[in-house]
Amino acid sequence: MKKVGEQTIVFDTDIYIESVGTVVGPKEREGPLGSSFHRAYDDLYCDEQSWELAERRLMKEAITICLTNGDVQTEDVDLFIAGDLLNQTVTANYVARELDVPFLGVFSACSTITEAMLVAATFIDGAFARRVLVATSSHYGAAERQFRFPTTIGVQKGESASWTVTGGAAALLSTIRSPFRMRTATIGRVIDSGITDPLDMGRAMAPAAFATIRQHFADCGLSPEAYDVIVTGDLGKVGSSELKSLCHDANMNISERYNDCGVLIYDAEQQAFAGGSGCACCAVVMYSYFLEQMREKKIKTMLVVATGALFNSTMVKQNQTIPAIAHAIAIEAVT
Amino acid sequence: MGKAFLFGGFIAVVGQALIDMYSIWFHMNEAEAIRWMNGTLIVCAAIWTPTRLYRQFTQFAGAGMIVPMMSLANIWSASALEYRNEGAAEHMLSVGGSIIVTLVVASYVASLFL
Repeated sequence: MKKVGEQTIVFDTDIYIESVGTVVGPKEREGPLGSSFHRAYDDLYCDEQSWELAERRLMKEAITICLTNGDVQTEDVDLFIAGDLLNQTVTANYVARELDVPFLGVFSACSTITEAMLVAATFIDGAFARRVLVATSSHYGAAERQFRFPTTIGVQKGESASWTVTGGAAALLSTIRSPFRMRTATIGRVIDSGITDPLDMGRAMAPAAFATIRQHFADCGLSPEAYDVIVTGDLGKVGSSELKSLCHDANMNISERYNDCGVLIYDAEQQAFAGGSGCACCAVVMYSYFLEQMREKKIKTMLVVATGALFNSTMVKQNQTIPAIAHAIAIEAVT
Repeated sequence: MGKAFLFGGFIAVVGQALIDMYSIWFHMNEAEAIRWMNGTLIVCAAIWTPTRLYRQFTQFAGAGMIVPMMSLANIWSASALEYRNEGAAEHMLSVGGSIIVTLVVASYVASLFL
């Protein structure tokens, strides 16, 4: 039986992360994890004419790096699964146009990467594909003007606001043995905690992350000690402390092993408010920093819980609350 | 709030200094000097917009930087810049349009009593 409990899948086949590729923008390079990314641009435009084209280039380059690292040709990829934040996930669609590989677009806001990975793993486990390429991207300028204001308008943001990560990330999943194995995945439910402020997404997403983490442990019969690291996607400082207190109230102690990609990616001096957000946030930190830690044998098991706020600016203007989702995947080091 | 108060006040002081400067050095009458002061501040705000200097000022000073009319120049030039690939004129008022509507309605209402 592949499904365990209510929301979790245990893959029968050993599914590995064959190779990864990450590309980031200038602010991410200046951050504490700057040296761990494969490539970084000095300029937010990434040598393109617009933010949207820049984002497309980030995703495309991440894929190129990933394929080169894995020494894989596009003809050897059975399926491409990708998504991003822009309307109608145009970045993924336009990248797929050039890749010429069967394509499935996915969207669950900033948790798109774990959604893509769990869909990819399911395809491989069911023998519907041998090798799947997953990718995601986000861009500060493109996201800022789509969800909030043009980037140069003077607005004052509070400490709960986040900074969209400029970056692209790609990974190849297959049954070919590598140091990283994907064991289980928990599909999240949409949780609405009644928050209406799009500048407070951490607090809107924390209950979704909590629900998925709790369900994962319940379904697998595990406790937080089963993982060396439990990492959320982009809750930021405010959302992280909210999640920790929710876990504490539920007698689930995750604090010692808990971290958040949005908090890790920027320094306190970088004026990123609560931390990074966006589809690329969880993806670039997971693929560059955490997989490297695994390769160096500093961690053996990790639970990645990417979180997404499922709103758009029209819904916010109509005073609708912000629903959120979190999908979890468990990755373990193979020795 | 204190920062907004002081920064907003500082802009007013700069404005007054500009008025005095224009009237003493360029022998303008008061109405003319005020127009030139407005123009100078608006041009400054527009120049500070693409360099993100205006945004940094606003993050620091909040309403002290949003309330003065320099903010109008910032909003419109920022919108024009941001949408230069998709049609600057079409999108220029997408954020600041509500200000124009408010100004027109408020002027009309005020005119009824004057």
